[in-house]
Amino acid sequence: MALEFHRIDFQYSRKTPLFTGLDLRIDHPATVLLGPNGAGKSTLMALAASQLSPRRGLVTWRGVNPATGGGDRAAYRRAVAWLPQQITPVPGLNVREQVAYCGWLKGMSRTAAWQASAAALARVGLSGLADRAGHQLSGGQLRRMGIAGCLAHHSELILMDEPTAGLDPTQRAVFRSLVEELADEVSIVVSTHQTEDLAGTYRRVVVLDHGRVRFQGATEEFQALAVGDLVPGDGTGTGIGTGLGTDSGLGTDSGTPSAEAAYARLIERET
Amino acid sequence: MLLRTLLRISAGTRTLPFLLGFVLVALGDELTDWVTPAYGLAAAGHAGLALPFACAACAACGAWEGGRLHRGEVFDRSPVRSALAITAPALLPVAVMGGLGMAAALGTAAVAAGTANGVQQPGPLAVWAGLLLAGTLVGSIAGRVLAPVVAVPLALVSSFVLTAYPAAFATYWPRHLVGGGLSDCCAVDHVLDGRAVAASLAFSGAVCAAAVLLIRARGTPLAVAAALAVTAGGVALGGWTARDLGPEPVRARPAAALVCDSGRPRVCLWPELGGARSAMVRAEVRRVTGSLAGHGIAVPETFTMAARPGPGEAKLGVPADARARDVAPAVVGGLLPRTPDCALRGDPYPAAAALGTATAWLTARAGPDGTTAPASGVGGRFTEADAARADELLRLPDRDQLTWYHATAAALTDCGTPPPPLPHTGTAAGGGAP
Repeated sequence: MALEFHRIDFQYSRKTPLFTGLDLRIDHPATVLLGPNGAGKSTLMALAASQLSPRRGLVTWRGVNPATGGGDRAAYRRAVAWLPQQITPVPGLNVREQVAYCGWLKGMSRTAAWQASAAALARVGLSGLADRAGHQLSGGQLRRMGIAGCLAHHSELILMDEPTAGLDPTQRAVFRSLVEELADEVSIVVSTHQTEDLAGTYRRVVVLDHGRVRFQGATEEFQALAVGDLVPGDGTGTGIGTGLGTDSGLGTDSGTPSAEAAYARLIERET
Repeated sequence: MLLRTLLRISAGTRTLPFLLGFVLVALGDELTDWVTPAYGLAAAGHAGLALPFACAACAACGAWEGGRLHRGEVFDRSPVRSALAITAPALLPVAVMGGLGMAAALGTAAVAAGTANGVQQPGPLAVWAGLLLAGTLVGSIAGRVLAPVVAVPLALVSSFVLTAYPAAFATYWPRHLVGGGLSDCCAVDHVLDGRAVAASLAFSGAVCAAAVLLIRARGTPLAVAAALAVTAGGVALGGWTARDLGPEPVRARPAAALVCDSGRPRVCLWPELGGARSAMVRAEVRRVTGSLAGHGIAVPETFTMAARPGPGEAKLGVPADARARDVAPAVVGGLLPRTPDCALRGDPYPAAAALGTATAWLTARAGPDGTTAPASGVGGRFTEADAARADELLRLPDRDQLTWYHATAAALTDCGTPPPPLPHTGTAAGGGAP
């Protein structure tokens, strides 16, 4: 049950390579992908969603490679759902139709998608807005609608790119609790540069910077970076584990290790 | 997307009432005037007047639907379904709207023509389908590339111009690519020329194929180049196919469809006349030819409605809704030689000056008393002056009249023979010197 990147090379046309020989295995159901702007998070998510194709290397989910084409590509895309940073409703469709349409796009029959959409909306708490036009939803509601679309076609893995960007604290809390609940049912990989929602929601952290994996390990290990109580990552070979003292001032006031501080120290150290 | 959802949101559904209203109200008179009676193919051809409007509506609605998919970013959601499979349902109601608009035009023309025989050739329908689909697909691509505020009016106007304007070209092949000559199809003795259909299908098929390429490949440079090449190929193939066609995409109707009897003379009529009208026409032909023969005028063995009568046959130019009074002028017209090719090319045709007098004289001989020319001919076939000259001829001995008639008929077969002088005046029938 792993999303794997094998020796990925990727670059946008006429730009410097973003990934060179990237190896990454994500095998935990609730993983967060951290990194500064331009680190390659969204590109990695798009590669995982098979929206982009690597110049070299393989992306697989449970051993299925979408680049093989035909049935494998369809099976991969059926299993892997992607919520981009901006969720744009299809003009003219109401919320339930949007969700059913997601299911249809993923290969479900029209009738099956329509039937599944009701349960999916109920799962994310949007049943009451089923008849509302998509463009009338708030940012948080749009993201929940997007998740409902993923649930409608029974995705095994949901990739979310910056899902909490632009949400107010209340909406973030609702979204976080939804992700916590869903993590028991489907695998979730979230890319973000906001570290405050980490604790309690995601159990695995991957830090990406300049196209390289800087850290990969449990959330507790990551937070420990903030106080210098470092536990090396689990084999990413980033060399983290020394040199981050407690006197940098990036710890939290309460003395609890802060993900934000850990992230800042990690990025600062590497740059 | 459920069908009811598709129908609820589609621009095609919302535009359909306007298109139908436009076809039925604004084009109603155009669609009902000048349509060949009782001929289903002519009704279908005449309904082609609505094609530029239906195509424009399809292109504009296609642009809106293409824009809807683009704005909804449905192709960026890692869909399992192909881009074509996603696009096709969104465009289906649009294409159906165009089809319904054309069906309304066909129904209007068919009612005006009074035909219930259906369309004998599927050619016009195939041309419509190809062009409506092409307009819809190209519009959808415009909608994916441009903002709706630009794409929709651009698709509307450009589609209308591309389907309507080439019809006015003096170079004829572009008009056949876009079905521009369909509305001239067909008199009852003509059918649609298959080359016009093939040319249009080559063009619309190439445009559709190019659009599908662009939809599937999402506008990569290679796909754009391939689409341009396919479109150019379609234009070239269509143009080559239609290179020898005139302005009207028609050819003579096969004579095998004629219904002939075994009387004397033999009368061959198109089935569109129906049983009762055919019997009336045959009876009138025999009455008129009997009268003519009684005055020594030779009549051929066969009168036929075929566009190109064979040897020993005379053209019987009655309309499909012929009345008794139409028959005598048609018989008279069939007895006189057809206008020679040299005259059709614009060469001087001096014998034409005698045509009116000869027609008036023959009409008088075909009448009940055979001695009085009518004041003027039906449909301007001859003038009062022609009738007056014919009256003077009728007072001459029969032999002189027949001599003049035979000489005039001979002169009418080419451009180099002047008409003979009138026996009693010594001047040409048109009034000039012999």
